[in-house]
Amino acid sequence: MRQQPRLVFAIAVACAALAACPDASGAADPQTLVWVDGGGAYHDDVQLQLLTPWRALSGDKIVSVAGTDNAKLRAMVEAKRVVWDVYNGDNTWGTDLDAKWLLPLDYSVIHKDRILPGFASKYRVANMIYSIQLAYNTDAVKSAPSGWADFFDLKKFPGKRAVMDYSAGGIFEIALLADGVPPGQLYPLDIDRAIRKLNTIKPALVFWASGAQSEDLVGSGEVAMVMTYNARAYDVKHVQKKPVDYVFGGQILAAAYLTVPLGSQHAAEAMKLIDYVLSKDANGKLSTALPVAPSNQDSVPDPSMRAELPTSHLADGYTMFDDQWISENAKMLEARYEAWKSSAL
Amino acid sequence: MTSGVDTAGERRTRYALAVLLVPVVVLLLAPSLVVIPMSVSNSLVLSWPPQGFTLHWYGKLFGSAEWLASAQNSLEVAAASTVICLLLGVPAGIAFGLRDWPGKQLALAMVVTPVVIPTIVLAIGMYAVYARLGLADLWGLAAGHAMIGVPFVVITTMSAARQLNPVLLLAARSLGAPPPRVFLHVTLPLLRFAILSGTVFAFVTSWDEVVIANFLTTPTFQTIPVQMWNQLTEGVDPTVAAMATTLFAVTTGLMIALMCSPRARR
Amino acid sequence: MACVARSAGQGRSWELPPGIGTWPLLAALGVLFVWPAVAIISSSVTEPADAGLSNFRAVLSDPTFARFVGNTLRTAVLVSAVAGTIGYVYAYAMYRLGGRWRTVLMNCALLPFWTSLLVRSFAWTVILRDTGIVNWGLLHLGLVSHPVGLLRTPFAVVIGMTQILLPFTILPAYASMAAFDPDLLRAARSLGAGPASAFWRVFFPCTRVGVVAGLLLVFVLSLGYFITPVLLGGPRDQPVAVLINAQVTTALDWGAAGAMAAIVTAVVLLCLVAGWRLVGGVFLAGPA
Repeated sequence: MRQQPRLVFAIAVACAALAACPDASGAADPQTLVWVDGGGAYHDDVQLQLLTPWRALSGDKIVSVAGTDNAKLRAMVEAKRVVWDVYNGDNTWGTDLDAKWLLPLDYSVIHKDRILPGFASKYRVANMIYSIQLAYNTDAVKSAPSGWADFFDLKKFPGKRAVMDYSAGGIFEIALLADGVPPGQLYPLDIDRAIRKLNTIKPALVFWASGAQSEDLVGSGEVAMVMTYNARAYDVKHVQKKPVDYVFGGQILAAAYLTVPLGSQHAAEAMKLIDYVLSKDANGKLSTALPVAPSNQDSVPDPSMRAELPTSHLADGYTMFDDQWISENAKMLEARYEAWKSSAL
Repeated sequence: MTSGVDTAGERRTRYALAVLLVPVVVLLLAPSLVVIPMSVSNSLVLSWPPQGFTLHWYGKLFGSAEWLASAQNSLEVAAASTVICLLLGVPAGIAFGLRDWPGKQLALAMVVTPVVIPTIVLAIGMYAVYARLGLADLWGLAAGHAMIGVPFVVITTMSAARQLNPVLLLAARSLGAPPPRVFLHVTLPLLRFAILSGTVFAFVTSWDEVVIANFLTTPTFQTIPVQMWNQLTEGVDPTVAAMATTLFAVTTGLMIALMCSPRARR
Repeated sequence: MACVARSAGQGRSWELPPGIGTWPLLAALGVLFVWPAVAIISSSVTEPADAGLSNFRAVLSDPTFARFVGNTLRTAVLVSAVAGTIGYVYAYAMYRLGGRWRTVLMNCALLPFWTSLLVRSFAWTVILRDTGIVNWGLLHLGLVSHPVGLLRTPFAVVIGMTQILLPFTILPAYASMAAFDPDLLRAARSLGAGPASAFWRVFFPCTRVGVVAGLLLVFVLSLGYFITPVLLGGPRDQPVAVLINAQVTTALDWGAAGAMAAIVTAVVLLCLVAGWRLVGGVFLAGPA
C-alpha cells in the first residue's frame, strides 16, 4: 500500500515532536508540601487566604490538590508511597476508626486550647464550620418554607426535592427532624422511622452527587427545594444570582477537619501549617469569600459575612452530626440507604 | 457493492436507509453540538438556554498552565498506551482469529477480563503493584490503560482475521515469502481497517479514562479527564465546555482535511 | 465456497506453535493485570483479618446487591441490543451508500469520541432534563403543557449509553462488511435469489461476525459503566459499580469491595460463556 510509508513517517514525526516537547508538568520536588481539599470555591479560597501567606511566611513550597479521595489516601499509606501531607477531610473523616491511616496530631506544635470544644481530637482538628441547609427556588414556591417539615410537605409546597446522594450526608437526619424528633435526640438514628418519612416524598426526590449539581438543580428550577451545603446555597444566590433563598432554621452543623496521613514525608512541616491555619489571625480569613465559621474562638470572621454564618443563627434551631456514631455505623447506614433507594416504594 | 440489478429498488433502498440514518446521526452528534453554545455562555454554570456570549472561558483555558500540562500528559499517555496495545494486541488477535488451539478460550477470557472487572477495584490493585514495580506517572498510567485498551485491539483484529481467506496467505508462502514477510506485507494490510478501529478504540479509552487515572496521577502529573472530573463535580464552569469544544473543533477540522484530500477517494 | 471455510489442519505449513502471537500479551497481562487483580481481590478473604468467606456470604445473601446486579445486566442487554441493531443498520448504510457518504457517515460515527465521556454524559442531562433542551422545544412548540420527565429514567440511561457505545458496534460491523466478497451476492442473485433472500442467507451470515464482536464489546463495557447511569438514571437504574464504589471510597471496606468485584466478574464471565455458546459459533472454525 503506497500510503503506508507516509503514515508510518507521520507517526514517527509525531512521536519525535512529543518527545522533544519540554516537560510542562514539572519535575516532582521532594521538598514540596501537598495540601488536599474538596476543591471548587473552597479550594480557591484556601489557596488565596491561607496557603499563599504561608508560603511567604515559611518559605515552603505548597502544591494544593482539588479533590479529596479517602480510598487513594489509604492506597498511598498501604503502599508506603505517601505524597499527601495535609488532608482536609469532611466531618466523617479522621475519627479513631481511621487511625490506621493517620498520624496522631502533634499538639505540642498545634495550639488547640482555643478551638471550640469537641472539635479537636487525636487524629483531627476542625478548621472551619459549615452546615447542611434548606435552599429553595423563590419562583417555584408560593411562600417561604421555614424548615424541614416544609421540605417534606408536598401539598403546601409542590415540586421536586433534591437530596445529597450519601447515606451519611444528613438524609436520615432531616427526615427525623421533619418527623418531630427533637434536635438533641437524633442519635442513635431511628432508620426505620426516617425511611417511613422519606417514603412520603420519594417519588419527588432527586439525588445529587456533587455540590455543583445541587446548585444547578435549585438554581434552574428543576427542583423546588434542595438540601445542600450552606456555602452552595450562598453561592447560587449571591454569586450565580439565581432566584434562590435559604433557611437557617433546622441546619445541621458540621466541620471540615485537618489530618495528616501516616507516612507523610513532611509531617513536621505539616503540623506547623495546621497550626498556622488554626491561628487567631488566619482562621477567620476563609469567611472573606465563603460563609464558613472559624473553629478558633478568638478568630474574627469577615464582618460582611457575619450574617451568613451558620453560627450566627443558632437561635433558629440547629443540630449537629454525631460523627463518632456515624463512623461506627457507616456500613449499616450505607446498606440501609442503598436498599431503600433502589427499592420500589 | 450490489450489482446493478433493479436500480429503482436500489434507489428506494438508498433513500430508506438515508431516512433511517438521520435520527441516528442526530443522536450521535447532539451532545457534542450542545456543548458548543455552552462554552460561550456568560453563565457561570453549564446551563441551557445559554446566556450572553463571551470568549472568556477559552481565555481561561488557554491561559492555564494546568490545563495545557494535562493535555500534554493525556496525549502522551494515550499514545504510549495505544502503541503498547498494538504491539501486544495485533499478534494476539491474529493468533486468536486464524485457528483454534488448546487453551484459546481460556486465554481469550483472560484478555477480556480487564474490562470486565470493576475498574475502581482494579485501580487500587494497580496502584499497589505499580508502586512496587516502580511504574509511575507516564508509564504507570500507560501500562494501566494498555491493559484495558488491548481487549479492543484483540477483538477487532480477531474478528477480521476470522474473515481472512487463508488461501491468500498460503499463496504468498507458496510463492516463496518467509513468514515475517507474509505477516508484514499480506496479513497486516488485509487487516488494516480492523487494526485502525482497534487503534481508535484503544486511544479513546485511554484519553477518556478517569477511574484508573484518578489513582495513578499525582499532584504534578494530571490528565484531562481527572481535571474535568474535578471541575464537573466541584464547580461546573464552562471552561470544561471550552475544552470539549476545542477538541471537537480540532478533530472535526482534521477529519474534514482528510476527507477533502485526494487520498480519501476509495 | 463458504466465506469462512477453514479447518484446524490447514495451517500445517507454519513452523511456529499455534497461539504464539498471544504469548507477549499474556505475559504482560500476568504482570500488569492479574497480579493487581489478585492483590486486591485477595483482600476479600483477608479483610477483616481471617474473614474467610464471610464477605462472600454477606454479599451473596444481600438482596440489594442482587437487585443492583440485575439492574446492571438488564441495562447492558438492552443497550447491547439497541446499539447492535442501530450499529448494523448504520454500517450497512455506509456500505450501500458508498463514496462521499460513506466517509461522512464514518466521521459522524467517530466524532463523538473526541468529546469526553464526562462532558457527553453531562450534555445529555442538559438535553433531557425538565428545564433542558427537549422540554424547552416541546413547551415552545406547544406540544406539551408540563415538562416531560425524560431524565432519571431507564430511557435516558439507554439513550445516553447507546450514543456513547454506538461506534463500538458500527466499526466492527462495517469492517466485516468491507471484507465481504460481493461476488457471493452476484452469484446468489444469478442463481435466482431475491434481494431479501440474498441478504439474509448470504450477506448477513458472512457479516455477522463483525456485529457479534461489537455486541461483545458493548455488553462488557455497559456492565462497567458508572458515570453515565449515575448522571442519567433514577435511583432504580443504578449500576452495581455504585455499590462497589461506596465500599471502596466511603466505607473503605476493601474486603466487601473485593468480594463484590469477584462475584460481578464471575457473573459476567459466565454470561459471556453462555453467550459464546449461543452466538460464539461465528468465531469458531468451520463453514458458516
